[in-house]
Amino acid sequence: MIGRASPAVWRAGRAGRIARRITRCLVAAGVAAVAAAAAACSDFAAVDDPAGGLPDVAVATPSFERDVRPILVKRCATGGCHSLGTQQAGLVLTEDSAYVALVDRPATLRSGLVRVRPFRADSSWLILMVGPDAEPRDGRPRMPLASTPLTANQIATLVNWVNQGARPE
Amino acid sequence: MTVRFRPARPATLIAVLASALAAAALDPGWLHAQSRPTERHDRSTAAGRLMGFYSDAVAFSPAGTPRSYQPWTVEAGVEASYVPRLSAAQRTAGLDKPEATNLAPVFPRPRAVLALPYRLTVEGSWVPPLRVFGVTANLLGVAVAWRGARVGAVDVVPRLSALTGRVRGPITCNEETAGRSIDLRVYYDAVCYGRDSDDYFSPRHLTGEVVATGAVGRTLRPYAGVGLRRERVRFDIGVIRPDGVRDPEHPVLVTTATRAFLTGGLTWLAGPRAVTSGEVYYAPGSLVTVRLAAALRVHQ
Repeated sequence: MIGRASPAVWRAGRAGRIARRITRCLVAAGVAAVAAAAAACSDFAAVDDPAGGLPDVAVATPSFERDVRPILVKRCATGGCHSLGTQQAGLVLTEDSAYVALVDRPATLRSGLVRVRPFRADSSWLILMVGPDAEPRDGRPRMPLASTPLTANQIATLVNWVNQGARPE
Repeated sequence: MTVRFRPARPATLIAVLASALAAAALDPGWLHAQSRPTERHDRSTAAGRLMGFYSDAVAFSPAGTPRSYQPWTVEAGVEASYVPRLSAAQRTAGLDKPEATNLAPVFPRPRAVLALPYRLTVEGSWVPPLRVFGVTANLLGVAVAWRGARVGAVDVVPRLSALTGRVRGPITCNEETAGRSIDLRVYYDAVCYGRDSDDYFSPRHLTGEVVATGAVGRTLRPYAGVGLRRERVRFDIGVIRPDGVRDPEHPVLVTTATRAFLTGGLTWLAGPRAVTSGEVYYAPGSLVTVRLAAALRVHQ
């Protein structure tokens, strides 16, 4: 004869069912989580524009206003760097200040050098700091700091401008 | 041991949602952005794509089949959304260094549903401002769905949702990532003043979608949806100066866009009160991710 289950037996059976249900939920969640990690991904490509929206050409006879200043403003005068507010190394390269701040001005971080020495790109601190070599200069990292370096064409434009006298126009 | 759930009154739920709405709306983050330069971006720029990706990552999607309830039924649960890691190139928002956006691998979110008469349901979610994975979110999501249309054996559920709030974290300046190269270390010391930044990512979403759902057996409810989202996303670069003030030289980035997305998933009615769901969320050109959710009926 099958009698009616006692309350204790009934509770034990119910607890078992709940435990099995929870186990199934956890297994399903685990499988779903693994599938999630495997399936999820980004669906966009990085933007590759090392010239930063500027023309990437080596200008043979550059003009400061047309060819050089846009590079300095776009790549150097950004917030936290050589902007009017931050003035890292005491250098401001905004549109109005860049020329005066560079040409024939002593380099703050390297005594004996000037920032831009007309006709002498090889002894101008600006050219030294933005050059293609990624190694530190006197223990200081290449500029622009922690950023995509200037392109070879942009560096050539700066070098040509300095070697042709670093004229203001 | 028997666990008893204390029934939540609908009025209590509404009060919680109203408080959350007030907290998110009164969030004074926008005050810091006064008189700051603003940069507008779209999907053609690296910053626009990056902001769109994280906007999708926090989107308030159904995360489960819209279900039928008796009016004034309350269901409460939690959702976890996987946030895929991005490469250094994807995290480079322009020509600058990669941003430290790989902070939280999972975005957790509590959710609640209140059933109304006329087959309407209101869903709510508030992510309270608790610091998790170095990130503090304060996001509110609200949705209204109507399960009143039926085509054959399929219910067609229109759903309107909105999301607002912000996520704070050290994304621009992060000491943990600064030690990886001399460049980043110098950047952290000079540009970041040797402090972690307090960046604000603020999404505003208004979304319309249609979800089709049916029944497979007694316990499985598959669903699929398509939607459009109008969004305005701001990223307030929060470099902190030594005097504790946000550096006003850094811009606020803004994107305004309309984005399409697809959802698909399966809900399992695990018991008379419990449900679990898995959802695949796909936003073309942005993100594929999976959301898991579990909920319990706490009042009927």
